[in-house]
Amino acid sequence: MAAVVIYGGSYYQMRSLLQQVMTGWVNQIAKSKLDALAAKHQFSLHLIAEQASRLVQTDEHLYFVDQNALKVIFPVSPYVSKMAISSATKTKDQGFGWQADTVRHSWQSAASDEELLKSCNVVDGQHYWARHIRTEGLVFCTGRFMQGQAIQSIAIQINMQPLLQDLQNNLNLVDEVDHSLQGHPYVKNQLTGNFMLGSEFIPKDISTRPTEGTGKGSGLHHKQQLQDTPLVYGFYFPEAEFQAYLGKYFMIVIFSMGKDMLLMCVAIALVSRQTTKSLRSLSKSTEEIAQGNLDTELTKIPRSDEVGRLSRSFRRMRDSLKLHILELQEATAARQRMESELAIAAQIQQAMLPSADAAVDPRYSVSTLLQPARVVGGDMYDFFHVADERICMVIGDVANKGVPAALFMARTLSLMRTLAHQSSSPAALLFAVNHELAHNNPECRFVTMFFAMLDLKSGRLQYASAGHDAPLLLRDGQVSKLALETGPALGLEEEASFPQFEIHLLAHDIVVMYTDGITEARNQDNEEFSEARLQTTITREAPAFAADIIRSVTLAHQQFIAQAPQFDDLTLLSMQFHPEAKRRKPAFADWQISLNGQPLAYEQVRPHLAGLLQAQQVSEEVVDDLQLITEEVLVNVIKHGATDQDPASIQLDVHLQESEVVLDVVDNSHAYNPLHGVRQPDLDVDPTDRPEGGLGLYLVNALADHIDYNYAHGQNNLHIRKFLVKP
Amino acid sequence: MLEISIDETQLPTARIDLSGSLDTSTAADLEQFFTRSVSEDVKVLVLSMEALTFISSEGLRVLAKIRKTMRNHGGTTYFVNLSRQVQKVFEIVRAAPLNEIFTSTAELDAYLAEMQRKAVED
Repeated sequence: MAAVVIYGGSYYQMRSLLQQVMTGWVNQIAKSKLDALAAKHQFSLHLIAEQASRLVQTDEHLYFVDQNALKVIFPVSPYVSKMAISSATKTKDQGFGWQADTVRHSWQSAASDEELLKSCNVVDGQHYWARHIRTEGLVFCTGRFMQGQAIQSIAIQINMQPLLQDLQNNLNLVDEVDHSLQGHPYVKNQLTGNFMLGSEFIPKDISTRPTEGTGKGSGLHHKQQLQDTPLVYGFYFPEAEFQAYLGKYFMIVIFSMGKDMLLMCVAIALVSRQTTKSLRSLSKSTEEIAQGNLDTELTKIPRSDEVGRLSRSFRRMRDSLKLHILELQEATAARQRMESELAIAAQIQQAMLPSADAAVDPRYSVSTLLQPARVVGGDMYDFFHVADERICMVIGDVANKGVPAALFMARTLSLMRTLAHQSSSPAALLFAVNHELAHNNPECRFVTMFFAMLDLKSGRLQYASAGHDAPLLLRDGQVSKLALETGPALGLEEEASFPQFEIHLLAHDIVVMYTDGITEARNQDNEEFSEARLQTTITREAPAFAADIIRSVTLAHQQFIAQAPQFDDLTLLSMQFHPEAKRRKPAFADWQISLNGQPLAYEQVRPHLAGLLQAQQVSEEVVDDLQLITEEVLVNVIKHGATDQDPASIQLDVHLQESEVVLDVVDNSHAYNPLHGVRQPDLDVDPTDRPEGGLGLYLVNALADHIDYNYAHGQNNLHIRKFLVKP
Repeated sequence: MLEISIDETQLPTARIDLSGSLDTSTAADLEQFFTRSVSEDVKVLVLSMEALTFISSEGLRVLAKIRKTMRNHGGTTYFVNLSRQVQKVFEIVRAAPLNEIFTSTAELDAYLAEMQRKAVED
């Protein structure tokens, strides 16, 4: 595109330049040639007139008889062809004339040319130019006078041929390219109004045309009057011819420019092809690199120009990419190893914390939340029985976060569990734990902790704190802080003591313990969630159950924090006291079992089930598996189930469907998810050395093809499917 | 129902035949029977389970306990003729090391003879 515009521009420029130059040049040449010729011919004609004038002043006899004498006065020139003389006084000489012999440069006497003489009409010593009466050629007339009487008249016929020839020879512009003649000279005789030369090319009205240059449409025109003669010399270059002439030159220029350009294009194409050859191979290699093939062989380009430098840079880039990727792979592998270890650590840490289901006594319920800021955290909570009637509750926060905090947290939790059984009071326990932690703690790590013991019979809650915030008590919709004076954080002073307090819990009281991750969390405006907001949230929602507190606080907290990042671990533990709740553990025989609506004793269930399935042509192996599944599920409920409902019941429903047997087990014991915490026994360890328990539910999981559990309306619902044919 | 019989005529090898089903209601029976009937003189206890059609996790627990007791006495327990269901459950939980499980009495006898020959050579 750009090339077309540039080419167009230079085409236009070239055209106008050429037109100017050519016009000026032709003008100059034509004018100067015309002027020179006109001057020369004018001189020649003047000379003839001069010589003729001198002739009439000499002795008349001389040129009548002596050609040599005549020659002296009037030398023969190529422009004179003949001379006619008439004399009024000497009758014998009346018809006398001379013929010019241009070869011998002499005059030859000849008869008088009457026509020539008649062309002149000499009166009173005049000399002038006249036209030949027949040929309309140019004639110079002069005469000899005596006392005002013409006694002799002389007519000289001018030979126009050499003049015109001269003009034609000199005034034609010869084209340098094809030697053709350009433009047309002309000669006009003003006496006759006719063209003596060029009449076939010249428009009749040429005399009225302006001269000088090219008027638009009128062509190029010059004319020059020969002084004291009736001749006008001119040069005419018609517009159309001039344009054609210009056009021819222009075409030559264009052709030459085009040829140059073509050659240049070819040269450029060759050079760039040579240059880009290496670039192309480089680009191909680069693409392979981009697709991940770093072992691509890069073409060696032993050049010192940009391409060579580029190829060397690429080589370096590929090498350092290779190195980087290798390093990255190693780093990634290391990080993945670290991450997977951390994830396992997080699982282990999570496993150290009891779930809400661990509250096995109906007289209290617990709900918890622990959300570490990183993969592993330093927050902790725990609750456990130390005796049938006594439970312990702990919440704590290890200074700092991450793996060191998590390890310190694990150490603290283990110590708590171990020492709780030996300690009679919270103060004593905190003292013992602190002693252990501070004893060997060069890093001066510490943990804040709140510890409480609840007597389920009396409702007496004894508690002590090691630098931890006082929990909240929700009683009858009112939130208050437990009265508390706290001791130092655990792990700092070996002999620290911890003041102990107590309060009597009433039915439905909820104690809410939390870490400062909750209250000190900040939102995007850098506002703290704060203890006041925590209290307000609980007061406003006035939740009826321990689990509702966790839910509503979590929700309010999330809404408050919104998009702000979590900096600290969040931990909540809420405990509700239900002294009136009575849950019994039914005796083995008290469970009422039914299979497809038919009441059965425990021992009858399996044979009955087998009979039912065999009657429907279910394969022995599937029957075996379903018997075992049923046995394990039943035993699990009967052994571990506790209920406050009467009677304790287990309903089994077995149905054969198109491709599977569906077993539904519904019991009314407390919520107990048999799928929770099912772990594969360590099969590499000798079976005798494995920890007891858990095998039954593991077998159920292994044998069933699909298991679902949910708890609704005070009933556990277990939905098991066993395929008839293994897919 | 579980039926238990013991053959102690070839001490220190004793052979217990189990038939019926070893589940929650019968596991205690086997446990008691073992405690009562198998003395510390028994060094090789063969549990023949050809007629044992059913075993549950409770049964596995008792078998593990028996193995442990035997091991503590310096004895070994072998399981012979596992029925289909028992075989499957054993496989799922790897209830015993494979070198203590034999598919037939003859195979076990050959193995024991070999062991004895080695012991004599030593």
